[in-house]
Amino acid sequence: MTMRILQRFAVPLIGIFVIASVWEIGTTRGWVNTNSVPTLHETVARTYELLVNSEFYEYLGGTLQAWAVGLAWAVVLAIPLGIVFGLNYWAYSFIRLPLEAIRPVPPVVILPLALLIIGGGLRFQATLIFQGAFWPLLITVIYAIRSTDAVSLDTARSFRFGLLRTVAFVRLPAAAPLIGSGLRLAAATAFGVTLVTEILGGASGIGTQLMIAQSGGDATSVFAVTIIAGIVGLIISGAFGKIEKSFLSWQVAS
Amino acid sequence: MHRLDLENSPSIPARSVRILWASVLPVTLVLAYQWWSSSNQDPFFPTIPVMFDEFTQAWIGEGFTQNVLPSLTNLALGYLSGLILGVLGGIALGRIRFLRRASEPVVGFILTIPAIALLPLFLIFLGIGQQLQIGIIVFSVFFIVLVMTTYAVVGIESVLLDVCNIYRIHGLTRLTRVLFPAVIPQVLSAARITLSISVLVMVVSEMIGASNGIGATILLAQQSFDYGQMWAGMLLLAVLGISLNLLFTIGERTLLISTGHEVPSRKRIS
Repeated sequence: MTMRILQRFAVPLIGIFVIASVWEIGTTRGWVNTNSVPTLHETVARTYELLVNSEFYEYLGGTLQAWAVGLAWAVVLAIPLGIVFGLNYWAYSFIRLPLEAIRPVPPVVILPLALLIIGGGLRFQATLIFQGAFWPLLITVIYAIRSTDAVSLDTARSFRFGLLRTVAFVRLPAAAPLIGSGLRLAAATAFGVTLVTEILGGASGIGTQLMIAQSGGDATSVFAVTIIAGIVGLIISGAFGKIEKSFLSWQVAS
Repeated sequence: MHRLDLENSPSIPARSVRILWASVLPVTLVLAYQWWSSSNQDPFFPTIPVMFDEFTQAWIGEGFTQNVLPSLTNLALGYLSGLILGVLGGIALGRIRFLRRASEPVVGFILTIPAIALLPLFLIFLGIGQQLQIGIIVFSVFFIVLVMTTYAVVGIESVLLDVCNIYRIHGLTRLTRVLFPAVIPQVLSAARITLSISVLVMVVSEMIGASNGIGATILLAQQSFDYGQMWAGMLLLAVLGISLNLLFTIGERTLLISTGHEVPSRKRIS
């Protein structure tokens, strides 16, 4: 029993410890240039400094605001549209070709155009984040709604369920797990695109902080802000993982 | 797998009708854009013939060797080495439990950092140049493939490994004849995800830290208000994304068939 617990927690700690000591020893001994890789203790100290600095939260707030606005638009539009297009074969095949063409196109494609037309700022960010998250989510929702088990649909029909009740009680619960994982992916994509808009578009946020630190040659801050971006990513994926799990529980055992 | 619902298409219409119906929207969109752009004369939105002209000027001939070829070379080098390293690492982590557990927290954390956020860090570490483009693509491909391959190896049925033991299939033979083929479906889905990520990373990294390449050319065009060339770049990215995806689908099919796996149905759209 103790052996189990030891393995469960000690081994990951060993991993972290090994990486941390290689980093610290490597940089303090001068095996790598500290201008490009700062020492571990400096990085940790800088991360802490940023996390207790209220000014930094303004930047973080800017990033999260843009992320939330863009993602919210994508979710609010993609889910109802996905349901409509998923329900109707003709509607789906009407938009299918353009949709399939848009899917593999990287979301930065419209960045130069959006930058010229909208300029920087929140609207530019929200537009880019929206179109980065919207298309994959729409495709996932359409697929999830279309792939409802045929037997459940037949059952619903023999109970004379109308369209609304079929959607609400059969299709949506069945589609929920897939939609949940689509949401998680959309949230992560949206966060990535938010950083792109800040790095390339200059909108204020942690991405700009990264670029400012980089152009000033401040490696410690670059590492610290990158770590914070990772923590934010972790929180986002954790939160959306919870949502995904709660969607899973709608699934009746089949 | 899900049974596909064909309820809404009680009698599947003739193939020609379906094709005609599916092409209504794309054709309308193209025609509407052409009509709108030629009547508006907005410099932001050039007409389609102008776009194609700019496209040939920017990317065919000299533009191809100077800007498209280096980008594609970096993409191919970075993507393939990230893929190979990821698969090998994933097999090692999947087979050796200690390594897997020890690396779990660190790998998990790196995975949540968006690839783009790592660009400034790589800029400081590698400086501007080809090594930056390749390095960041390798990095962002590697970790995703690593994790998905690890899961795939852990998920290999124990019967398969028992059979290996009974027939004394060990070492390289086991690796190439049993482990590789068993994890191919998951590796392919990781490869598909990372392909689009690496195109994105390539473009953004060229926009920040390169003097030539597709991304650098597009950004330069935008900053110098050369809308035609900017559109040519956007068009190229779209064409690149679509054709790489198409190539991948063909390769995926061939590989799955040749290793005896089920090919995902054509209806699958996500």
